[in-house]
Amino acid sequence: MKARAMIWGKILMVVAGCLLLLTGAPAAEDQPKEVLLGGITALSGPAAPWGIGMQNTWQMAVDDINNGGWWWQKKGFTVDGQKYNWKLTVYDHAFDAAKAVSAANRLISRDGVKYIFAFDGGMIKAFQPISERAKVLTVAYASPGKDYINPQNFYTWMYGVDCIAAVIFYPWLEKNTAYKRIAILEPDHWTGHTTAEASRFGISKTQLEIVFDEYFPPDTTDFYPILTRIIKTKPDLIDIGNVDPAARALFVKQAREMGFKGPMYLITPDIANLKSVAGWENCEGLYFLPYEIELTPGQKHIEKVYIERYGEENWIGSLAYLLWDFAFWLTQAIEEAGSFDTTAVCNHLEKMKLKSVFGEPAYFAGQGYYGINRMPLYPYNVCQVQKGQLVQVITGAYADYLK
Amino acid sequence: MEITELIQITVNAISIGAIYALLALGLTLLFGIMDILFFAHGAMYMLGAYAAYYLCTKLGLNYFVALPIGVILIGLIGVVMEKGLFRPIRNDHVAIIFLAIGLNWFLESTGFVVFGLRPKPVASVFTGQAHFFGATISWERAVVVLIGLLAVLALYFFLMKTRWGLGMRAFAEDPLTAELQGISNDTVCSLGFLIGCGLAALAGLLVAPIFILTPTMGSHAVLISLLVIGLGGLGSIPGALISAFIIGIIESFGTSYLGADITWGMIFIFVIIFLIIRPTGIMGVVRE
Repeated sequence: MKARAMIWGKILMVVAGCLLLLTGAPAAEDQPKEVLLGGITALSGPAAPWGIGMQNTWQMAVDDINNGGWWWQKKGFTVDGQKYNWKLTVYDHAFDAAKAVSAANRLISRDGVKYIFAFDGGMIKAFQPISERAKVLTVAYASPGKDYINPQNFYTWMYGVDCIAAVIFYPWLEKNTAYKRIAILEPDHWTGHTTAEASRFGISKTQLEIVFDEYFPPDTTDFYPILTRIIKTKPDLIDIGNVDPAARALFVKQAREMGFKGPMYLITPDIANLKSVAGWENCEGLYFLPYEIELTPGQKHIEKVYIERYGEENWIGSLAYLLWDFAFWLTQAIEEAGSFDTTAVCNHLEKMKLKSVFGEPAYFAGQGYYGINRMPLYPYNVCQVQKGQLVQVITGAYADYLK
Repeated sequence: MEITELIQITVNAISIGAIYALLALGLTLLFGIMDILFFAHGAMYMLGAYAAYYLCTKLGLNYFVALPIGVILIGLIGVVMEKGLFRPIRNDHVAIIFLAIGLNWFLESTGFVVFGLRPKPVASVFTGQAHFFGATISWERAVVVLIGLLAVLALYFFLMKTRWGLGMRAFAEDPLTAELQGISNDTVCSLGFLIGCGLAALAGLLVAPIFILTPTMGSHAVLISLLVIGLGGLGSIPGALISAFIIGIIESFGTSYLGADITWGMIFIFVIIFLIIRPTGIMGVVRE
């Protein structure tokens, strides 16, 4: 009797175990797996305000994808029947190329990352031989230099706006104003050089004349001597496209003090900073690229969530919009390609119709400048300060020269 | 060359020189008296500038009320640092350099957390520009030039004509003999940090309305200060003043005629060649 009871007991245990396995297996499959998304940016040092802002925005985008926020509308993403969530891991390069290479090595070799978001071009150039050899899809949040965006670097993508801005703005300027003489001033670092190069490319499509074209030490706070030299060349417009937010506000203020009354050209402006440092009255005539008077729903969402999470003090302005889209495009491409293979994902990304916070249609282009479609184009708006008001002077333009 | 242009470049040079002199003053005092290169000077300068922001912009204090409050506050922070951090390793100069560099980085990084990522402005106290012979200078810069020169004179007077100054100079010559004469080394060091950090803060408070405030603003300032005191002669106040104006002149004329990108290279080459020819700097003394 006792032996029979033991046999039945064992049978029941086996049945229960089988049931547990049967019911437990789908539950395990439902659990999303984590996929690492690497980040390399400046979390310390002079560029930290940009770098920390990047980390914050990437994290918000990842959270929206994982939790089905904004337009994603579903939790995580699915590849081959398995659900996945992103996990963002960001390393600091302190704007030092050697540290950027260490960070890339760590992400690729130790963490096994296949996708990296990185800032800036100089840092990306330093670790690009490693990332390209490992076929790691790298998104450059940087000025778009031909030296790192080209057909030889198949896995490197970018989200800079400098080149788009220049090829849209300068032909428009020539057609719609009487300005002829352009002064270009950029900081003496890789980003400054590539931005100046983009401006020269934009101006080369016009009859405008470059009367001043120089670089300044990135730590400069006193622009009086440079302005003395610039004003001597009698420019109609000063292009300070990618001068960092703090220095450009000082530049605007000091340029007005020195008597320059003409317009200036600024990419991704920090309006609050300009108002408080330069004074809004000194911003008269300034061109802001890109700048939206009416924010799109996506841009409103980013601004609201960012300020809620990180505080108004740390809001990075229109830079946040530029940092947003790629996480969604990458996830969509992986899902639609049905694979994490970066070659397949790159091939799919090239053909995708993109949904952008700047509006649609959006797609990858750049063949005309870089020889490969690695730069997103989307409707581009430009504003000017006229009589104290922001007036949209270019609406929904596309950088045709880059196609 | 037009005469107006020449005047403008000279005015720029004076303005730059006065700001550099102001920046270097506290650093040269600390080196002259205590023989230490206080790299955290840049952080003190940054804290001074932020003091202007919080006292004037946030609390709404009058700028001229905020000025002494900020100087005293940061000076006292310097005293606390001297007592808590530097005094235990006073005789180990290498350790002091590493501690000061680390402290500078720590304060900069903390600055991002405490002050936020956005650069901060301080509203102009003196608006408008002065014009003479076609040259332009903003009134706020003119005031910095004036106060900067006054600060140099006041410090020089303090060191040369007061008992405290005499005590500090005696300490600089020979700490042991000074101690035997009743001059407390601890008091001199605390006073040195109080004045040195107070001067760094004064520089920060004065330039706050001209420039823009970021937690890393001190790193560049401390580099310029080192260049100024190196050329002027380590520890020499008149030397620092002359050197600041020489660098200001080279920067202004170089940038205006040759371009900003090569001017700083020229300045470094000039300082290196000068120090090869005269290792003690313009007015430095050789110490045993």
